[in-house]
Amino acid sequence: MAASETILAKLRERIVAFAASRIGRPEAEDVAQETLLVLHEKYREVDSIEDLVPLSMRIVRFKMAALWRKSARHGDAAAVQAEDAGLRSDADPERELIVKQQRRLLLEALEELGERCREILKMKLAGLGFEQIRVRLGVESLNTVYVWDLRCRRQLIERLKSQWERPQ
Amino acid sequence: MKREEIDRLLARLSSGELTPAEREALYNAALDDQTLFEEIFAEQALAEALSDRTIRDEFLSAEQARDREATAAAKADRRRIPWWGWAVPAAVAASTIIGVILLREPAREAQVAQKPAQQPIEVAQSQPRKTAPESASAPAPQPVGPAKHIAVAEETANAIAAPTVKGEVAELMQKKSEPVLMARRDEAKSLDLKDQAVPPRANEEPPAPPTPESAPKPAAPRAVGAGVGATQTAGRSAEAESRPAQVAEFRAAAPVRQMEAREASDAAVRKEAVTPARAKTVAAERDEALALRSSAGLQAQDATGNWQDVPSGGRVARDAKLRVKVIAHEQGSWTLVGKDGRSVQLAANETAYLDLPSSTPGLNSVDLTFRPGSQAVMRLRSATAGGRLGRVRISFTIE
Repeated sequence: MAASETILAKLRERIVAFAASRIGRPEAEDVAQETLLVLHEKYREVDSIEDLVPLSMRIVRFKMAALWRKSARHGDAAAVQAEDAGLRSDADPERELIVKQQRRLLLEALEELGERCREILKMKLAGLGFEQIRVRLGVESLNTVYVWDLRCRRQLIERLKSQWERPQ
Repeated sequence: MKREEIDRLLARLSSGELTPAEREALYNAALDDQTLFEEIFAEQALAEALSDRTIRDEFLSAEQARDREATAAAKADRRRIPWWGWAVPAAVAASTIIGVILLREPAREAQVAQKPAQQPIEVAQSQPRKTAPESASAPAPQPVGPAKHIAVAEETANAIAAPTVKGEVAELMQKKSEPVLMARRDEAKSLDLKDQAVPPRANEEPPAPPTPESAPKPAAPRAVGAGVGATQTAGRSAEAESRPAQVAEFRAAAPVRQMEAREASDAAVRKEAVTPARAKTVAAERDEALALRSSAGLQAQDATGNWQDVPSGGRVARDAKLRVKVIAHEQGSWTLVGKDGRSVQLAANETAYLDLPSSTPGLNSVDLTFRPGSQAVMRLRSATAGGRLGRVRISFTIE
């Protein structure tokens, strides 16, 4: 229990720092608080760090997206519910529109990748591991494949970061 | 945790290959490192976006279409002939054409030069030698017929005017040494000019020594250096009447041509004595080729106004008008060597006359050059190799 509290405390600190650099300190505090609230209320059984961290990150991403949508709609002061954050797929036209837009942007970003990046990504999406990718590419060192993949992912992240951190 | 280890774990995280222990270590590190936390945040968002089945299907179908296009483009590239694929054959064809143009004339010269080796060459023969009456018991030497045709090899062509004793010819063929050939050639020239009788052949019995009564009468007067007996000349004249006029002209100029060819050959051999055998061959080929392709002869105007042929080395009156009659048996250009440098371009079997200044003091020879080929070919040669040139010298004496 103490270990879990320690993890949550560190997690809150990281979430606040991350959100504060993007949406401001007060909103960052709110996002962190609401994230921990969702974890406490809906995912109480999750206590291991390898599950808590990715789950909290996903909640934060949706909370921030909801916050941006709320800010965009002037006069709408309705509170963002965790259920509305997209953790469950509901038939929401606005949500569907956002997803479509994100897909379009992602496909455009993929099109702009180089030949080797697209080849690596294609193999990863086909379920190949890095060792198999290394063999397919005819590379001697596995670290070379790691480096190539890291550059490709960073290229994609740079292109799509604004979508995740500042959704329209 | 080192940066390389973090990158490796992030890569494996994106592909879902992390073990639970690696994942726990990575997230523990992320809780203590804000940068790593944000990196994992982005990696997770990307992995989640790529996990969308719609995205994955569209991306893979787009990649397949791209692969098909690339394959089709590669096939098209293989089918399409590159620009150098056209340029190389074009360059080779152009080089071949130019080479053929440049080499056509010398090749023809070489072919023509080889022909005289098999072609019979008319050789001057002496008139029948009269023997003494007391030697009637001995078989009288048979008079040599008019203008025998003897097939002579190329190397002996230059010494063809020498006494045609078989033994000597064989000796010439065997020795082939330049000094001997030169001596034979000089001897041949002197004999020819003196119009001496041809000694009997080796298989014939030698004639009896001449007595004062049976001393050979002087040969019938004929042109000095003509190289053809009167009998031959008469025979030729009759023959020429029955043939086209151009052939007759060629025949008439033959003695001059043979003399000039020999002189030119000697000069070329002496001049190119560095490699005597090669120089002799080249000179002989060139002169024989020139003789077949063209001929030139000196003509002087007599008191009646008619033009008479003057053999090489002949005499002309002091005030006589002189001209050179040039005949081209194939297309080419005759040029009078000298200050004027007049030149005349002739078509095949065409005749032209080049007037000479009759009052030039000390004028005792005329040099001409013949260059076969059209003007276009000669211009091309002058811009490249220079082509081959035949030279003729006609000598005469002003009385």
